[in-house]
Amino acid sequence: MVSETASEIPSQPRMSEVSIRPSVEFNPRLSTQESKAADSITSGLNSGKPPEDIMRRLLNQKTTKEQNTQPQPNTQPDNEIQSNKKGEAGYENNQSDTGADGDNNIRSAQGQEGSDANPNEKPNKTEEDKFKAAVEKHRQKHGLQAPNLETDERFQKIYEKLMNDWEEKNKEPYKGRGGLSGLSHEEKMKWIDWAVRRDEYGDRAFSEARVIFKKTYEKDFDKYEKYGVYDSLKNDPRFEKILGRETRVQYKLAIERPDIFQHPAEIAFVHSLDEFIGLYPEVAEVYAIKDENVARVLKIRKEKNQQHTQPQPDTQPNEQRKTGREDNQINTGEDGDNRRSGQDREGADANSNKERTNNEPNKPEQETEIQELKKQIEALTQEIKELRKELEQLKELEAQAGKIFQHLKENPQIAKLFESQGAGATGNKPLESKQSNISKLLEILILLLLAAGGFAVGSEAKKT
Amino acid sequence: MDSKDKQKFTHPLIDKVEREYLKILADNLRNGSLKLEEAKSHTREFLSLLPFSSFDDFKKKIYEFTLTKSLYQRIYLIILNYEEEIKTKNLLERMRALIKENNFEEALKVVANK
Repeated sequence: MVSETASEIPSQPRMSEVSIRPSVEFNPRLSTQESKAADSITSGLNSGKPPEDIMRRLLNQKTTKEQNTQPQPNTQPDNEIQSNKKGEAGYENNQSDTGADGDNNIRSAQGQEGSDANPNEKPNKTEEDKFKAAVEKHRQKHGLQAPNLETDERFQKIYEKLMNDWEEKNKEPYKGRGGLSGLSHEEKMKWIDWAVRRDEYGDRAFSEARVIFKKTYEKDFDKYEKYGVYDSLKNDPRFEKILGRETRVQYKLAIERPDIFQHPAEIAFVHSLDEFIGLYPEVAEVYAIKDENVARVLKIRKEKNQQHTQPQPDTQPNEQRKTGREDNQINTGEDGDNRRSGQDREGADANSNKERTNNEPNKPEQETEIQELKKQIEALTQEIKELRKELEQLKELEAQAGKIFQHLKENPQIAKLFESQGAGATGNKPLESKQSNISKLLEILILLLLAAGGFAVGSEAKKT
Repeated sequence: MDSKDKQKFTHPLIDKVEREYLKILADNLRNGSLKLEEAKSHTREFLSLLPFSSFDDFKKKIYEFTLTKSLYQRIYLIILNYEEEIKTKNLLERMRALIKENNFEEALKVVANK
């Protein structure tokens, strides 16, 4: 469709030629006031702050050099700008509702339409067909009327009713005048204004329709929440929500500790993916058909689960271990081909294997686990025995030390030395622990060494 | 929609445009093509455009803003793009409704008269 309004500025390129998202990258090494301001803006954007707050924060930022301070014709003092915004509760609410990415706001009611996925990332036809088949199977398995809430006819009817009610109250201007081409510029603008307001209400109606659907069909709503499948992970609102939250957290961390958290967007994506798969494993299985990232994380999670159920794989009989690994590889897939072959398998068979591997370890595995626990208990008992022996030895040493101490005390010179060292109290007090025993013995040994000279003098005196 | 809503135009598109403006600002501050003072001055001017009374008002103000500062032309393109989307969406909805009623001739007329 050729733009009517775009013709007003012929030199401008089409939207498709322009990257709407500039490459704003987080670079902690920049240190000038400009780069600090840029970082502040980026972090504000990523943390989901309202843009106007970010702008005001920028205005409050101190400048080291006042240059190029030519006032703009429409320049308005900050306090005046603030006052302009007062009382715009609706606007502020609207801003705060937005996530990290403003794109989410203009989501079509249909949900499935207008996927913004990169065409290069699109899977081939066979994968898409497999995905569709898996979605259908998944839908039937969980008794869903449609793959997701937004495509459910009942939801669409609620949404349509809301939209019709709005249109009843807000009649379309110049309806039946033969389209936009027959309208003057002013009339066109009036019509566009109406269409924009209608679109804006569309977003509200979408949320309202969700609430109505939830009230009317609570069970089905819950099912959609848990098992609803979209055309890709990227278009799944549950994933969008997790990713938005995680992105904000990661960017916050990256600002606090730039030396550690250097790739917040990537980390946020990985964390979100892992969380999503943990929360919606069955939905993730469906996405894994055409999404390699999901397939990879699913595989890792399955391997982790397997490690939990098999803590000592070497104690397992060789044959059994081998079959266990084969099952796992077929279910998850080392590479794309394996993954595809895994998906080709009959669901019931694959599921039974999966359940056995993840949740119900078989008898020999349990026995191995028990034996392992017994071994650990035996080792601990042995250690306790050894510790008791050590304690006995320490007690003997303590007794000997006490005797030596008493003997030394008889020598007046050494007694004086003990007093000066404050060691008089260490006499024959029972030792409380192994640690205090050692420290006290060490203390005595040091004193003995210090007093070595005096002791020698004392014995010489006795001899004479 | 009540009278208050008519006076003040609130739409997620505003948020999108503002975010895009800030992204451009951050990019240009980072690559050195914009000084902090200039950025502040532009931001003051941008904030002075608020609030918008209608889509037309929003579009006009952003157009004038980007006319003198080509750096931010992309934000005006977002509005144009959205306008196109709205028109297309509306057209498709009308066509869909007519096709549902098996009124193919009228549906074709909608396209012809667009």
